[in-house]
Amino acid sequence: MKNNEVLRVEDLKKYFPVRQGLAGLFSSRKTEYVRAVDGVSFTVREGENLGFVGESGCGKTTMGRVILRLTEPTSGRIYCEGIDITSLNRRELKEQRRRMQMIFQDPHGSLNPRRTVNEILRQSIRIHKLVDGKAEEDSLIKETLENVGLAPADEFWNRYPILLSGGQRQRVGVARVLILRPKLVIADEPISMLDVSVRIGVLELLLAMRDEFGISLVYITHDLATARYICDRIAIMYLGKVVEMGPTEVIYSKPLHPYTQALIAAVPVPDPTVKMQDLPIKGYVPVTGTDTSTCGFYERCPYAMKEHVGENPPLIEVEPDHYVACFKVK
Amino acid sequence: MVKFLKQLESLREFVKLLWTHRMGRAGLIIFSLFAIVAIFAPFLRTVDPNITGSAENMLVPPNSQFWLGTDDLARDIWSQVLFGSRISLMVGFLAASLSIFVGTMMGVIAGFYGGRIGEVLMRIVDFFMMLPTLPLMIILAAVLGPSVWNIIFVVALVSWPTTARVVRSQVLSIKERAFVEASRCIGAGDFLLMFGEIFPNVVPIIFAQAVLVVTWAIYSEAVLAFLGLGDPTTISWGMMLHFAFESGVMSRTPNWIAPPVGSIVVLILGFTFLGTAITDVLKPGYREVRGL
Amino acid sequence: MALLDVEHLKIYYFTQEGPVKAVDDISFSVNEDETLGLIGESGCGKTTAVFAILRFVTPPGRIVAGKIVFQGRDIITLSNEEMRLLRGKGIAMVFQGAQNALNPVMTVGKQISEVILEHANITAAEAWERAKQQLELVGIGSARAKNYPHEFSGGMKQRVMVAIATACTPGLLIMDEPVTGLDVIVQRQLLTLTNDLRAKMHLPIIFITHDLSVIAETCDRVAVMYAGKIVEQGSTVSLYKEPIHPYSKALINSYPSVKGEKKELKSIPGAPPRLINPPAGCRFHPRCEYVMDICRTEEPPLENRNNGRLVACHLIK
Repeated sequence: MKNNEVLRVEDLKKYFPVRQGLAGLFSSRKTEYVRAVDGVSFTVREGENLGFVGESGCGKTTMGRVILRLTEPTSGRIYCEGIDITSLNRRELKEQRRRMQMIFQDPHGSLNPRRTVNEILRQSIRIHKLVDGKAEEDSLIKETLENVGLAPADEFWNRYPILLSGGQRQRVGVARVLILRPKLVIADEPISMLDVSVRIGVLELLLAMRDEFGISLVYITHDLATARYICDRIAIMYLGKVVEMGPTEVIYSKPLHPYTQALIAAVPVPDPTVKMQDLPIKGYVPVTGTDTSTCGFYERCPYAMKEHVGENPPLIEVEPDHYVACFKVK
Repeated sequence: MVKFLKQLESLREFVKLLWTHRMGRAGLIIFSLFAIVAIFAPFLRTVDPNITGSAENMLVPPNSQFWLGTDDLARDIWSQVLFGSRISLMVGFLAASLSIFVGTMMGVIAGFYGGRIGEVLMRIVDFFMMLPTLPLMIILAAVLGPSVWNIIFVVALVSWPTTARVVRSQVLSIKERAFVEASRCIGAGDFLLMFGEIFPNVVPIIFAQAVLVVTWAIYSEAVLAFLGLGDPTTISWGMMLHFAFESGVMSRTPNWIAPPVGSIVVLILGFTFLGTAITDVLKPGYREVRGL
Repeated sequence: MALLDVEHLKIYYFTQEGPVKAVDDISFSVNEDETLGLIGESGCGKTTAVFAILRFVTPPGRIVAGKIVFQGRDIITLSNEEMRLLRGKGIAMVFQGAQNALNPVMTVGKQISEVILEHANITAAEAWERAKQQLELVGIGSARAKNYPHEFSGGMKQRVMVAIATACTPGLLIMDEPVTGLDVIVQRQLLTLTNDLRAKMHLPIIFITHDLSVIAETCDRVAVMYAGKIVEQGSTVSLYKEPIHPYSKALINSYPSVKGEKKELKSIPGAPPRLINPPAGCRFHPRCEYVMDICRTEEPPLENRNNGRLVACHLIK
């Protein structure tokens, strides 16, 4: 285990049983599962931003929650700075929570509407007993508010979330985790519900968190364009598996997996002189729980061949630090 | 201290909002009226309502001495009505408080944990809901004996399940919201999540529910007293009706019947108005729709 | 003459706090066989403006001034019955989050034929045939006419909405954030469909979105809205190449792209203003990096530049 690994995930799986209802009691069919996360492995190094990109249903949000043990994994191991957190009990886990935090998607729903800004931040301090005494708490809150760009702190001190703009609420969300000085932050679509003119500001804040506080970021999104802007490495997810992973510019300029190629081709470009490319794939994302003995992309893949049925392509390193799970790519 | 003042401030705001609501305004007025009457009853009464009198003062129709007349024991009806308001409001609030407290506890715990605990708790709630309220109250009151406190207990016992149901369903929906998970992610334990995060957001619904329980308590007290299960030494509106019925002259003395019945109806109406107003006012977007 | 001419439209919402100037004197036009994009952030008034075109503005909102001339008639002056006939046939709309606008207990085929029957004097059987054709047109296939909305995915429901909206070959189609919230690939399929329909039916479209890249893919002309006003208008190609208004410039410079060079992005400080008390003078001045004294006091008028570009900014003098 390298010393500068902030997060290591090994073969993480999260399966949700599909409720059979009353009929299930009498049928002899095996319980079916939704394989939300189906064997994901990766590492995040110190000071690195790793992006997870995929469409809805690919499992990226579930994966983020499982890593923080907001939902328990079905199997697999999660190591935070070398410590295996999958087997910790509640008390130990609470201590670990200081090091791994989350920023949520909905600026409106992620703040308790009945708490003021300073009360929200104070809760973080008190749960982990970061400092002693109210004066110390106040000064830490003030400093953190200024760190996230909510200055002067006095203006925001007693405000309820309803009086904050979307961007300001997300900044409070960032402050709430920043105050703990975590090593790793998982950001689940942090800007998708914000106005476009405000998004870059929040992204810059996330980048500043890395530069000034050494916080590594796992950035979960469906938006390829903003992921490119903020992430050093990108992992593309499809049906619970990572199908391609590598440095950002490599993935965007030389995508190898057919799904990645389709994704990049599908994203509209803010340049009206560029014509829309034809999409090489067809159809819609199949419902999970179907046949998993074959590559999940088989039905939509333009390069699908009969020989590919019955086996799942493993994730292999085809170039230094560039991984692909595809039979076509050798 | 600062927190208390802040809460007072938001209470003031809340009352102001209620005032803008038509029903809320009516409810506030009615409630204030009866509250004043209850508090200042000793100053507003003309005669000590407990004093019985001689035969010539019995069943006297309203006159300048006895504003609403007298009952069959020459007690002044006006003064009785005034003091009766104390019992009704007291029973209303105390029974509601007890009922709300128990119901909320059950509802929050059942809603938050769900699973086994939730199921067990909800089955207890279901059991209590199944019991027929009026017969149960009558039996309990008869068994426990005539006393205002017994009535309060009985009313609370029968009404807490509804609160538990309402609170639980609210908790179920709040539990899913991102800020609860965010707190859990920060490291908040179950207790902090239930009472620090979820409960403050349930309070509005509890208010609305409380008001309804109060109306129900007032009504139940009147019914039980009327049926003779109340304490004959305390003056309450239900008790007045009980004596009126027992006396046999009910059909000829509207001045004896109308005041207590009217008071019960108006007070319950006032609280019902308040309840409706609270529910409306607490709906998100109320201010915007009214252009406030 | 343009197909649709909006002139000096003003829509205010009268609240107890005062009038909210949601749309404050905007003018634009849509010609035959072109797509006009309306871009702006939340609260800029774009949805309110197009709601006015269909006369959907409800109290406390009111159209206080202006004209909306469609095919030569001022919509504001039409009677309720004339307006009802116009909706769906003359002008049709695909709403934001339209997937929730479908009736869950009616088959999609029935919902399409309902609209057709409303505006055409034909039998139910004929309407059903037309409905099936519409489903073919949007790529769902006539075999699914008897399916219910819940049997479709989000993107397909959106296509059903398009099928309903185009069922009576409207003279103008308005699409309000039709691809917002959809996955990338589904979004692309819907945009391709929109462009195909445009080409096949020569359908003029007003396309509302906050997404610059979507506009680039679909619209011939674009109008940029900010805080209830149109700040710049012109052909998409030239506006994207050379934006003049500081807000347009800032928007384009804050848009990441997956292709080409990774460019340096700049954020726009501040946030869109509340329209109950918009800033005096130019509404963008608190966030503008080129702000001058005159911007704080005088509102810049929308002026014509020689190449068909309209800009409202004091800088261009």
